[in-house]
Amino acid sequence: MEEPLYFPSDGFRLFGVLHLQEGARPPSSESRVTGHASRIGFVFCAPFGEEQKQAYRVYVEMARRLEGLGFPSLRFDYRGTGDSHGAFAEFSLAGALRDIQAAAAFLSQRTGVARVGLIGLRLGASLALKSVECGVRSAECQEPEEAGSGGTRHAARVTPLPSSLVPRPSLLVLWQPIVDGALFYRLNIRRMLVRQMMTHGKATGERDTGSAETIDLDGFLASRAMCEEIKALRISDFGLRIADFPPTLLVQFAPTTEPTAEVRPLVERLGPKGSFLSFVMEPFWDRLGYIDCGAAIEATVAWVVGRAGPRGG
Amino acid sequence: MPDDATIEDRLKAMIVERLFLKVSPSEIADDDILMQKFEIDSVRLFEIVIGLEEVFDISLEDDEFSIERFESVKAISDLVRTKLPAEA
Repeated sequence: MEEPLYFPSDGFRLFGVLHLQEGARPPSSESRVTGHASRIGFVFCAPFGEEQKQAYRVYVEMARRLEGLGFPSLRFDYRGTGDSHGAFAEFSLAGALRDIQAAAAFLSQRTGVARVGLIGLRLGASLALKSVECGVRSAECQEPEEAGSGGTRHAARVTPLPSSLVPRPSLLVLWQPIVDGALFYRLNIRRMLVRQMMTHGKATGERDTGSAETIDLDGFLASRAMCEEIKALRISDFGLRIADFPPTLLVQFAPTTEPTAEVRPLVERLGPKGSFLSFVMEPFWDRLGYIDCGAAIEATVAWVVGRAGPRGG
Repeated sequence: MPDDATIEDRLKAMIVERLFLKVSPSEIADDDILMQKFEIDSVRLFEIVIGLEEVFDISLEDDEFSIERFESVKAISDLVRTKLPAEA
């Protein structure tokens, strides 16, 4: 069963789709004890911009697969993106982190799962990893920020979610995380220049958005502050030790089965907490045509079941 | 890739690898029109741009993004040569 819904985060109304197996009910305290209900659910952390569009269906298929096995999950749009409220220029990495926390709290409260795992692709994977750091060092992720002028938010200032309501991620699935935000930003600019070249024969450069505060980031009206946030993102700077990581699956999509230079440091850092899979296939989030991701979805679901047990019991 | 591989050889290997082409690099002629022969769209061209910046450790300027510079391996290698430091 898939239920489209809205849930709150910092005064934004976020759009999500809750996947819950037909007939499943939020467990009572008794059923939690007897193990009748799934004890772990999953939040899907979306990638950014064009990559989110290309990966949309993969998330749907994986969520349905998990639902069929009895694992509830929540797919959602960050503030200012997709069907969620707010202007795109209000999207920020700090805000997206709080949205992930709000999604985890909502999933736990709505379905009764005691544990929440995070599944992310590209920027979503990096944010999922950052969420672990937030759970370990909450002060780094809970600074209040000024609410913007657009959208439908109601709070003048952000009130952090009580830590008791935010489950710490107990499983992580990272599909090709962005390890270097500056490189990712550069790729987005490159993608825009190539598109201009294909359309006009040559690149026309940065396009005027009518505001000094925003730039056209490959078709998305991004705030300059958010662009600086992205450029500053470096997984190697996350203050995490091996003990901080939950069991983590790192999935690579590359021309080789060996960890590439990009992901090898993260593989080494995860140590015994990490599992690594590589699929020799094109980066589906970066392609126009259909690419079958069935094998990657199946392998990921198998890993999840292996770590969580049937129905997360 | 041997140290003495030409720019053209390195480009062909990069193109085959990054585009997951089912051909050998040697099957690409220097003057093949890449967009016709390999159905290269904007995302595949993007992959070539990123690949050549990575392989040759160069950075393209905005005004170097013009379609004729990416028409063939020969055209791309000409562009790469202008970006590489002159040999001593």
